[in-house]
Amino acid sequence: MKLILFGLNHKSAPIEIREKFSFSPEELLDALEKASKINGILEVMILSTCNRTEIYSLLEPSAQGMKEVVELLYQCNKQVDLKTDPFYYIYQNGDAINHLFKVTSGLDSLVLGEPQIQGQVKEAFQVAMNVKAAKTIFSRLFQAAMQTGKRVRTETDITKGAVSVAYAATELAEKIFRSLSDKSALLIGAGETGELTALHLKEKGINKLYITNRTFSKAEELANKLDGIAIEMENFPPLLATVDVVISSTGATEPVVTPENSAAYLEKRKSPIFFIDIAIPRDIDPAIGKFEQVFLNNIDNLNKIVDKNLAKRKAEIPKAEKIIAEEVLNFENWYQSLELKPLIVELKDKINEIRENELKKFHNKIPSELSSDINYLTQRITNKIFHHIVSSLNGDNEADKLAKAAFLKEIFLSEPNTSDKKEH
Amino acid sequence: MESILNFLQIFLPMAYFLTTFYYARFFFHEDPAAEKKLSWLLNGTLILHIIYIASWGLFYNHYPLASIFEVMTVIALFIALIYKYIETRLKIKTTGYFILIMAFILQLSSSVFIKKVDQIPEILNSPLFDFHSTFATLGYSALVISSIYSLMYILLYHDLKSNRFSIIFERLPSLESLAGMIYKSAVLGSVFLTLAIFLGHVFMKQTFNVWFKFDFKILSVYLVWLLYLLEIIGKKKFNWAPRIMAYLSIAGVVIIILSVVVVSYFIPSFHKFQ
Repeated sequence: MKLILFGLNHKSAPIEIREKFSFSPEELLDALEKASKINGILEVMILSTCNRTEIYSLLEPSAQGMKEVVELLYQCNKQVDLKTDPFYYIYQNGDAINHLFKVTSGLDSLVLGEPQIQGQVKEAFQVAMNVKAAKTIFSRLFQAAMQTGKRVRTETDITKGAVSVAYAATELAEKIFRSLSDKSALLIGAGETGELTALHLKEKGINKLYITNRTFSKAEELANKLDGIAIEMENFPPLLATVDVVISSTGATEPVVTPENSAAYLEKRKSPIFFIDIAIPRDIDPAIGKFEQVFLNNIDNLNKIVDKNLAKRKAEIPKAEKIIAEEVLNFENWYQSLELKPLIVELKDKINEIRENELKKFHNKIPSELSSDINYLTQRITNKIFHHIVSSLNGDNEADKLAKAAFLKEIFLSEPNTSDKKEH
Repeated sequence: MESILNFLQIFLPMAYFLTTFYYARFFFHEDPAAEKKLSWLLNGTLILHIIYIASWGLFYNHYPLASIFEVMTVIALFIALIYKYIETRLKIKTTGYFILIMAFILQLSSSVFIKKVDQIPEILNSPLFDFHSTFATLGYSALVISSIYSLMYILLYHDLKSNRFSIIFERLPSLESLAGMIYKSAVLGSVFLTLAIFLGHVFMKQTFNVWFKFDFKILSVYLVWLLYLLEIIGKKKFNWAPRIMAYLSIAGVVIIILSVVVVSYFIPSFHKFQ
């Protein structure tokens, strides 16, 4: 196998370099087409996301290796100097497969275990397969990568727990409420994290979403986007008597929710209300937390959850790596079996040839009524011998397997040494 | 039969220990291998316990409520049975450790100290009494469960209030779910207790020809019954905060435990059947 990966990612290259090497959808198609015309490249797949660009190439055994890949990059106007540029990485064969499986499993992502990358790998392979840049081997490699990603996600906790402030807020809400589908939320301010939190709550099925902002038009705009209800800033306090979740992310310098404007509503509450304060300086006066039904969390609390979950995900890496190593071995075994296939076919032909030659020699000496029985018998004997030979090639140890294959080739397929024949 | 009883007497606490251990592993370590074993461990323990109680009743020829240690094993069984019902209904296994550890302690104490009661009071052979006592123990068991859920609720409430994200926060179900569990088990307990009180009075009329007779145990049961009634009415009519319900549930169980201990050891009562 001659599989080469040339790549750069968020760890190896700054954004200015990643920008230069990223492929737009049109550039990607063009690059795949160009790759198929370069001598030595058999199959190719390009993964281009905001955090990484990776080119996986399967090369002919006679190919020089990086020369063909550099040629492709050159044709795509993405010059690289392999001797001086420090921002890329190159992996070959097993290491390249291992890297792809790590990427698909989210182990190489900016946010450890994030699931989005699996979809991006899937799309990259599909684009390559659609234009016939990826064929038999890469099709199998794609299946193996998907299978590995799935195993890592189901057999480890690498994707468990919120690792963003917005998700942590949703996770906290789920510790207070059994279900969010009969709950309502109020978003104060149109900040990005607030919007994201509201979006996650929506995804979790929150029933009603009110949005308020100093600039009412912004509240309306966001309400349209999130299918919510825009309300004027001065009208939000009465809602504190009924809503279940409040997310606040304004740029105000003074608290927006204070005991003065909300105590009357919070005191009356019989059910919990969850305040998520993601603003700095804080929007919600900490004194609000003293009410029986109020659960108040600020950005520091949410970050604590994120850090804890990230540490837990990191602890799952060894388990994930073990799964990846197993899958890499499975793929390599499959690939080796492909390499052995021509040898097996040749061996079968050779053994059959020996059988037929011997039968021909004895053709005249065998009574015609026994001819078919003897033909059947010899076929059975050669089949049994062949079965034993093929079984001996099915081992776990790659080196052993290759040594046996070479030995068999030597015995059956090389030209016989004439000195061996002299005694006959 | 005696050898089966002797074997189960030793084996049952071990079975409860093993089941509780796996529930603990699941709670503290989220161990998926442990999770797979939970159902069959609990089912197996329950089956063994039912066989044990039935064998005890058949062998000694009385309903096993003649001593405090017989009551303990019956309550342990009912706690485990009611928990199984709640787990199956709500599909939440993370609370099992807290409930089953109680069943384990009760069964262990019972197995260590239980012995044959030589003189069985006549009233223990009445079917009406059997129903009365079954409902009473079922009621007590449900209320014990309600109080354990209450304790979990209070712990989680304080974790969330003080932004402490401990294992309680990570592994327990939501506050609302726990509040639902407190309420459901309190309702279940109250219904059983109401039936037990009613049948107790009918039995009293049959046996002593009076509807009411002063007894410390009866007084404590009425107190517990009123507490839970208050809890249910408070929730339904006045939408009381779950924390109030939780404290009432815990108070109810403290009264139950005190009444059982006091009646058994310190105060003469016609509820002392030995």
